[in-house]
Amino acid sequence: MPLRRRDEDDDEMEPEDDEEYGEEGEQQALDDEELEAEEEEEEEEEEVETRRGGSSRKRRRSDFIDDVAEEDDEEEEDDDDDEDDYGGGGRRGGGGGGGGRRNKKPSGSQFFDLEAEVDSDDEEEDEDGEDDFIDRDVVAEEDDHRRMHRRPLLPREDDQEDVEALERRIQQRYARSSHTEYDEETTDVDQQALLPSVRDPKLWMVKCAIGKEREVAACLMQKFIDKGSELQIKSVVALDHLKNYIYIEADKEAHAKEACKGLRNIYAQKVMLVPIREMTEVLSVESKAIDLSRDTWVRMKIGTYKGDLAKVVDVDNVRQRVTVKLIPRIDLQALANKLEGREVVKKKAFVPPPRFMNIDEARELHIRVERRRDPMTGDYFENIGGMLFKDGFLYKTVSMKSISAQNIKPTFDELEKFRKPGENGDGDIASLSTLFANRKKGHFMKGDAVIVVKGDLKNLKGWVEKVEEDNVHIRPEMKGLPKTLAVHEKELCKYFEPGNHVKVVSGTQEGSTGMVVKVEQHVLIILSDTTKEHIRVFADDVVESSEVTTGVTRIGDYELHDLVLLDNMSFGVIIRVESEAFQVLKGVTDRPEASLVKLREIKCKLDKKTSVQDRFKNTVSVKDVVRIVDGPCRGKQGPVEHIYKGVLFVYDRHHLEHAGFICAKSQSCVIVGGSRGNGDRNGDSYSRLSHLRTPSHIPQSPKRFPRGGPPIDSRGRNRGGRGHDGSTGATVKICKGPFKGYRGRVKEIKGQTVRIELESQMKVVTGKSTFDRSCVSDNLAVTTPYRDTSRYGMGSETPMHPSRTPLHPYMTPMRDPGATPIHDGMRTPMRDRAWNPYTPMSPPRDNWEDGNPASWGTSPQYQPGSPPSRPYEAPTPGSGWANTPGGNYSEAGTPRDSSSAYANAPSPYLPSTPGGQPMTPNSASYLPGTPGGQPMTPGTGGLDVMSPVIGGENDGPWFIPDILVNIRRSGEESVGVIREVLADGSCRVVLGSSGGGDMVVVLPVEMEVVVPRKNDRIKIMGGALRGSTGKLIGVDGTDGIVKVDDTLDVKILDLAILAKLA
Amino acid sequence: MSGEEEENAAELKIGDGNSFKCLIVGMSIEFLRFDQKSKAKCLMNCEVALILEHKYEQLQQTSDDPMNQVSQVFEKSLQYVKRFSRYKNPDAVRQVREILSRYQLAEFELCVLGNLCPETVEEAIAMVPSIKSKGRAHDDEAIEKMLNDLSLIKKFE
Amino acid sequence: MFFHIVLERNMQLHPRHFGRSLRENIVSKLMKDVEGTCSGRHGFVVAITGIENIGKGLIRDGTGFVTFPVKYQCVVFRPFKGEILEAVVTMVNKLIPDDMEFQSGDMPNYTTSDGSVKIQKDSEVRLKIIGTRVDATEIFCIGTIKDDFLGVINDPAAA
Repeated sequence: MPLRRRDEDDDEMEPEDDEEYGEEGEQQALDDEELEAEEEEEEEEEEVETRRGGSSRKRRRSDFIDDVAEEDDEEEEDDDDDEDDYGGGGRRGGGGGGGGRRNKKPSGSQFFDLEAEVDSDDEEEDEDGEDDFIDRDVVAEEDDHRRMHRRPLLPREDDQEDVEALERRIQQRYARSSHTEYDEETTDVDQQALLPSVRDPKLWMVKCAIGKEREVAACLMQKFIDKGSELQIKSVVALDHLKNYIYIEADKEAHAKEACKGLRNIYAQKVMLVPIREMTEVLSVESKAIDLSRDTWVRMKIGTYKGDLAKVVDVDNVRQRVTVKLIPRIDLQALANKLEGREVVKKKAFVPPPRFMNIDEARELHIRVERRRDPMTGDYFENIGGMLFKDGFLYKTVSMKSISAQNIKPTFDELEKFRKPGENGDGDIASLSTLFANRKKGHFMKGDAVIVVKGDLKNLKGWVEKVEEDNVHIRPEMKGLPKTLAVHEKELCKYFEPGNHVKVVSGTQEGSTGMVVKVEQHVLIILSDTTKEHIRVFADDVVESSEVTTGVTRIGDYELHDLVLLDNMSFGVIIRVESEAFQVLKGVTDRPEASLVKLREIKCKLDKKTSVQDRFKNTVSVKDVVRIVDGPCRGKQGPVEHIYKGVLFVYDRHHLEHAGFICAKSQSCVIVGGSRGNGDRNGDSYSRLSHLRTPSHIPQSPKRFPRGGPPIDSRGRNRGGRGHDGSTGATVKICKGPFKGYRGRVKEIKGQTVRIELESQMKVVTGKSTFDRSCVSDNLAVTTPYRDTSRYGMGSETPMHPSRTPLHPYMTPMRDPGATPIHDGMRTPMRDRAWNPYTPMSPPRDNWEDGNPASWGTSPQYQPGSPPSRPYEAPTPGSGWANTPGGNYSEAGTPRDSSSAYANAPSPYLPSTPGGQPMTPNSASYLPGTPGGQPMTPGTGGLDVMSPVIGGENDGPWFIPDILVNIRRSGEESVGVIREVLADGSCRVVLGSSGGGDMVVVLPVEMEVVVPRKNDRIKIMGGALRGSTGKLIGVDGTDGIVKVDDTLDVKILDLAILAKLA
Repeated sequence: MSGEEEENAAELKIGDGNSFKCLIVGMSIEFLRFDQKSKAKCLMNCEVALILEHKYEQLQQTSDDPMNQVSQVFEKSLQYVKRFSRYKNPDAVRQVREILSRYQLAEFELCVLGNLCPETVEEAIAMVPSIKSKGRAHDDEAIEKMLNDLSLIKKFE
Repeated sequence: MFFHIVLERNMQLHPRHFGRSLRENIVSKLMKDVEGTCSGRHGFVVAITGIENIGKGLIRDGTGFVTFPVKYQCVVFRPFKGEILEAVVTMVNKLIPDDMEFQSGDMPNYTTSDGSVKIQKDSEVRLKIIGTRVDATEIFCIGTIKDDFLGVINDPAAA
């Protein structure tokens, strides 16, 4: 152990020097540190030293040694600070072996104790002492290599002789680091340039003895110092987290091996090359250096104060030590006893409660209190038994390792306590900003309102657009600024305004909701919904939400967010629990419907774990994240909370209504993050096809839609009697049971049973509608006698395929499912009351039916799986559709766009999709394809979407001159301005956005209205104001806020009936 | 999402310099939608007071204890509107509406003015920022005159 | 703000109410059912002022109850964000004082530092609603008096 010995000698000889130079070197090193916060840099630093070794050999040597010596100091302090008791014990123990040295400098036992502390995992440090005493030599040996470990990464400049060289070096380093400092701003390209290339030296991984990594690295360094450039290696890296290996940077393997020759503990037989791509990873640091600065809140990791909140008052980056102030946990009596030399009764596991130090009290106990002035700061401290107190706080200097600064979230209680004497609290609250410095990642989400709290842009408000790593891109509120700004996460704080309704998502108040009544910097004061009291929370802990929680979250067996079956057979999710009732978001998908439900109205809780298929036939189960791609909630995204009857309840925290729950058809959703590839291709395409179909049926069920009733709901409606008018009298076909295949007219619907007058037999039968009711309803809705679908089969799931067939003739290809059918997709269906009356009877359908009666009679491929879907498609004659200008609506539809899906589709359908030609009755060819696709495509999605459009358009032809349209024909897309609408619905369009191009005639299906954006001039295409122009001054969900030119009125209109004016 | 909404709301509040800004300044989208969809007609407190008092009188005729017949909401509302009605006399109430409707005010603007009876032009604008809109050429003078008319009604009530 | 509005409701009536006074029965039941309720959408229904039309009744299966769709006019109160209105202080509780100081005691109140303005129970204030929370059955608002021409308009102590 020659090395070790030398350390000791150094210690003996120049402790004072040590201190002195420390001052200066510290300063410099401190700066250094600031510039290079990353340990990685420091590592490199070392490498640099190695390379430079040749030139300043002598210095480096002493450096290396002194370094270790200094470590001793630190460790001693550690001891003292961290655990008095055990420190004492250790000393006693050390006394046995260490002899007289003890007092002067820390002895081996000190190290030993420290190590023991580390080993014992912070838990038992109170107990170690004599028991653990180990022979000093052993300690020393162990110590030796451990110290290598603990050696601070930053090299110290401790050789005061060579000040100039030192200065040079520091300058050099500054230059270097100023480089790195700009890293943050360097572009990706620059960063790329820094990555190692094939021409750079390679990194070799060399095996060494476990635990000797650092030592080996140091030896290599020493060797380099001794041999200079003979050694053709560039650097050596030992990583703390990598045992058993070190890295050597060298051009050739041979160089690395050569360098290792003759060294102990290194096994150079096996040298592995680190692939270039992994080189950077080797040297990246996983745990980010924490930003410790004055006023940062930290928590103690070990010792009596473990877990206690502390505030940093001083940081010594060189020594890796910080001075913190905390509320003392001192048993004055015990202290007095100890100081007077009385026997200290060691009480285990007793930690005195935190209490501010009362000096007078201490004096009463005859504890010696010295009042001293700190020469550095000029502040006065009370010194009691070596501990420093000020204002009742304990000031304590500890190693950085013994505090944790990451994600410290002091509670208000703690902060309140902390501000106790003398402080009015402002300072503390202000320093809350430091809380944000070390918070978790992934904190901001798109759409969050934020405010900049630091830097030049302070107080700038904006909305989060994108979050990437540390940088958050925000869309600033102020005009005249770039569209988005990248701001460092730490400079941002969530922003709320009084009046916002929020939910607390973390911290002690987690779960409460309330309205913001006041914003004090980072602290919000919220008026709780439950208690009507105010609570203080950090802005960071809060998200905007419409959810309201009361204290109670359950009544009986039902709890908030449970899926329940109601006694009218509708179902929904409990979104709020009130004193005696639940608010339930019904499982209807075309519009959110919440109602108040009494306990007795709930039949049971539904907690079946089922899974359904999404639009692309991927399986969706509970907790999967889906995005809603059409329907009123299009664009929302969140985890699926419940699945029932093909309806998903999705939770989107950004959805401010209904406690964040959204009800959507599975078909309107796509799974996010799931692979689309796994669905079988056929299915895929089918599903898409079936989508096509779906919209067509809409016009046809005039009775149903006006009420906005969603399919699922229908049963409830029937029961409630509301549906009677719509369904009785409808002609249906029975699809199961003895009367299977018969057609008849619905005479009466009562609960679950239906009485049907059979056409052929002139007799009335009663069927039970145990089968899917949505099927029923759909059939019911259909008034055309032709397509009677048998519904009253018993529990049959298969009822209506007949229905589905008709549409295919029409299959207006243009309304492709994959593409969002409506152009803005958001048309909430319920808006339009008027349903196109003329569609239902489209003759082609009839033909069809007559032509292929057999086809529907049996539905072999019919999968019971998705009953609701069928009804949908069934009635869709589609024909009406195609002809109505609305058809064009489904812009998406044109098969050309949905290229991929289509391409894969085996269905004969494809060829026949003439786009413009809705009437092509190539049913035969089409047929085969359909059944497969059917089951899964409830098609409802399409339905919702489309429906409003139609409604809107009843008022007349959809297109209207002077509006801008996108034209899609022959595979290309262009913009044009409608000049004239022809009698057949097609339009004369002048190409070019300003109308300067050629005049062409375009079919409605080939064009789509250009959706206006905010501040666009618009023309209203439907409703009472049809033909009026105006300006779109705002968009709110699916509504456009329009200022009408003529009247200057501000109207809220469905975006779907607004077109951008050319 | 919330950001988007936020922005729209902000837009509504701050506006972008056209008359729309003023039209709905101070009122939220929520209001607009309510206003438009429910075809509701705004009422001034004094009008409500008349309506409720009338109803209350009717009740008195049919029942001994009319207060027992009405809901708490009714009772509170009646108290409230009586307290905050600037005009008590039915004729005056009618006049207020009549006079204010000469100034091309939106329904709610009319009601807010009638309820709050601002005394100065600044106050009126603070209460109903939308009255000072380019589109409707309400200069300070016109507003002043309107306020004067209002106070006259009050005086002669 | 108060509104006059037309609403619709399906009233279920037991057959025993039929007869000459059917209409009256419907109306009185409607009043009982509706007045004083609060729906998030329309606000508090203060009073029914008239019946526009009572539709044809539909006999419900099984029960004999008849459902009548009734269109009625009523006065509703619905607060909106951004609205300025006047209000009476009914309770003073200790909520974060800002530039005013909370004085507890028999008559808890907020007083400005110079003592010139006091807010206590029964004070009338003009406030602006800055937030509403609308549920199916309740409406909560918070308002501010920190803006031009807002604040106390009448001090009962002074009067």
